[in-house]
Amino acid sequence: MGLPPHFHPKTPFRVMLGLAVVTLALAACTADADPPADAEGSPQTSPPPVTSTDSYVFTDAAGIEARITIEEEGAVLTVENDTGGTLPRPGVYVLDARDGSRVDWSVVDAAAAAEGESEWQVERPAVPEPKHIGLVVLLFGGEDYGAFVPPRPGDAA
Amino acid sequence: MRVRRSLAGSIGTLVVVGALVAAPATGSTTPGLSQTQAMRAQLAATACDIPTELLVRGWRGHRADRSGDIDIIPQEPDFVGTGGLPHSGPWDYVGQVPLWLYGPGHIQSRGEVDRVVTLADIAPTQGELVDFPFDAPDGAPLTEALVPDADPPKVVVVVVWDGAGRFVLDEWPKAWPNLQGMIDEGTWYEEAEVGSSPPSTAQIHATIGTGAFSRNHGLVAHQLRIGDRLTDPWEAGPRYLVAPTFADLYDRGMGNRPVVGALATVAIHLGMMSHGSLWGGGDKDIAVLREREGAATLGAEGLSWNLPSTVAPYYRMLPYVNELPPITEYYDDVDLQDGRDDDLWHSLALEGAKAEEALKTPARIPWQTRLIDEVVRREGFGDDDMPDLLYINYKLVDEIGHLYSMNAPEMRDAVAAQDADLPNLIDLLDRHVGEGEWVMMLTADHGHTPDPAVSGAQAFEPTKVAEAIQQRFDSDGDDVRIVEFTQPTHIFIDNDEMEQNGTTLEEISAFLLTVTKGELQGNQYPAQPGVANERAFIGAFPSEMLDTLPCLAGKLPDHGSRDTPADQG
Repeated sequence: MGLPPHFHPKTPFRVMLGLAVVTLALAACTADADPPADAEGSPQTSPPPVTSTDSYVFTDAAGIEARITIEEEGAVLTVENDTGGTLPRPGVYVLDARDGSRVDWSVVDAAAAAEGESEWQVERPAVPEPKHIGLVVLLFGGEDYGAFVPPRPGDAA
Repeated sequence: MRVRRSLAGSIGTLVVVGALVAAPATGSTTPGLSQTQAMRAQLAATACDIPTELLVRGWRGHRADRSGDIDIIPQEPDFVGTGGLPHSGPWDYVGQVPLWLYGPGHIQSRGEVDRVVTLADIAPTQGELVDFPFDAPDGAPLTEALVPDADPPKVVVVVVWDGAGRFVLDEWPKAWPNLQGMIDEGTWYEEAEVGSSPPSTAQIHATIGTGAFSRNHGLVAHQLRIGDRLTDPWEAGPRYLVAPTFADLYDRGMGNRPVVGALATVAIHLGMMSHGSLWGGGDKDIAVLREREGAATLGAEGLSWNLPSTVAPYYRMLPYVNELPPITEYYDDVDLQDGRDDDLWHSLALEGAKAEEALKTPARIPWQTRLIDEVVRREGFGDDDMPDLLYINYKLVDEIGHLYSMNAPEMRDAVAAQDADLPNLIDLLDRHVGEGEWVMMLTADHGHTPDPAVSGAQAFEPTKVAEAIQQRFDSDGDDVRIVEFTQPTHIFIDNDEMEQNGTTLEEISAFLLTVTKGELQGNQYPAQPGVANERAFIGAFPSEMLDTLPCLAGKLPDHGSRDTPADQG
């Protein structure tokens, strides 16, 4: 995905939103310049929609359970491999919730996952912030296994 | 059916490939090339005799991690499939679709526009309409359809007539007078196509939602590979859809204030809308389906509106829709459709018919539109100036195509019923949203395969394709099969088992080019006379070769990128 959405004030509706853009753009000058902060911070909006979880889980019928826990800096990826074989080295990327852009995270010393539990540190860039994560997607051997999901109530921590 | 090019070149190349298959496993007919390299060169040459647009559609629909391992392309109109007629392949008859934009004050009354556009253009066009530009991976806004400087509409409605491709509509030209009569009041894209192959419901709905082809959004077909496992695209809800939809970004960007909803039938339709609350910061969009829980096939419908458990965590069902009149209340409309007031719809006795049977009749259309009317009113679509997004899938035409074929009189009734309902849909939008306050984008996700008795097609049985490969290559005596699954356009191969049997994708592909129509003939459809000894496939090659075919070089700049081929407009 490329440039962030923006507005062209042409009508009362657009003028109103355009004003919101200006106001919030000024407010955001020293912040992280998130692409659609205009809309998220609109006075009409209740609290900005953000991702509220710091942990995601992944399960697969083949016998894979994974969890990624986001920490203040970086993240931790754990993989429980019950597939009966070795899994290729893992990878993770995220889609920015605001504009859909893909951002690759780096699994440190990624290696094939033998049966049982493995754990890796994950380096993540500053953007997107955790609150702006759209999807977290799991890779093995570069192949896309699909998105993690936020844990549901009752899931093991 | 049209055959676009002479096949003389193909036949010459097939002879060479056939010779390579018959050659010893070592050595090469071409100096300096290994046997495999020589085979790849010949397979590529054979593939490049296929019309480029068919290869381009296949390339757009392919991902190395999720797609099958070998592409197979029969000679049009032949096809691989059994059971209900499939609608899967790179050909125009399944890929060309209607695309009509309508909305007084927002959409130009241009009538027909003659340029190639794809369904990847819908999402960015929605973005233009609501002033929330969407940078689609494979699409662009249909700007010539838009009234410059118009205010955003209060509701943008995407309507999919499932399976009602152009060949279906053109087969029954008198069955859709309402749409034909309104074409000039909106903008009609005469050369619209889905854009990728294979064109099945899940992946094309995802293209509508994401503005991306399967290559980029991840849902490649109704069977796809996740690791070593074959599964279906919505087995895990929206988790395998790895591109944002327009609604994901727009709804979140607007603070989840827009009303966003899909009124459809099965979960594979939801790719046209959103990830729901799986998308970080997103809310649970409205989704009203009728999917049978745990069904063996993706299209299996239940009688009650519901949300299956795979998607229930991410979307919001509206329980009151099940309090609306049942489908059997609409039998009177159906009875008269075949021209006779006799309590029959063709051979189906409506009196006392079970509700399940009603789902296979035009009764389901006014039944669903009644639901749409209720939901639009009660959920407040268009109640404020914040543009809302409504997605509708009507599935009757697809159902009839599978059950009877696009050439059957039941299809005429299905198209007629769909078209007859269009004024009702427009009327309810006018009543609840307001005249001039909404935009409709009407299309189809694919066409249908003609009855072989009409087209002269030879239908190949997927199990016979698999058995031909098994018998030729799988000799190690274990219980594991080389062929995991055969789709109309792809074959999934167990690569470990293939290697244990000392063969390659290239050898299997080359072998497939020598298999005859007679060898793959099934029992469901009659054999066409005089073709038993003809080769079944004009193309068979390792699917990853789509990325390197010399005939696509320059037409797919940055091969593997999001660029549009120069000759596709």
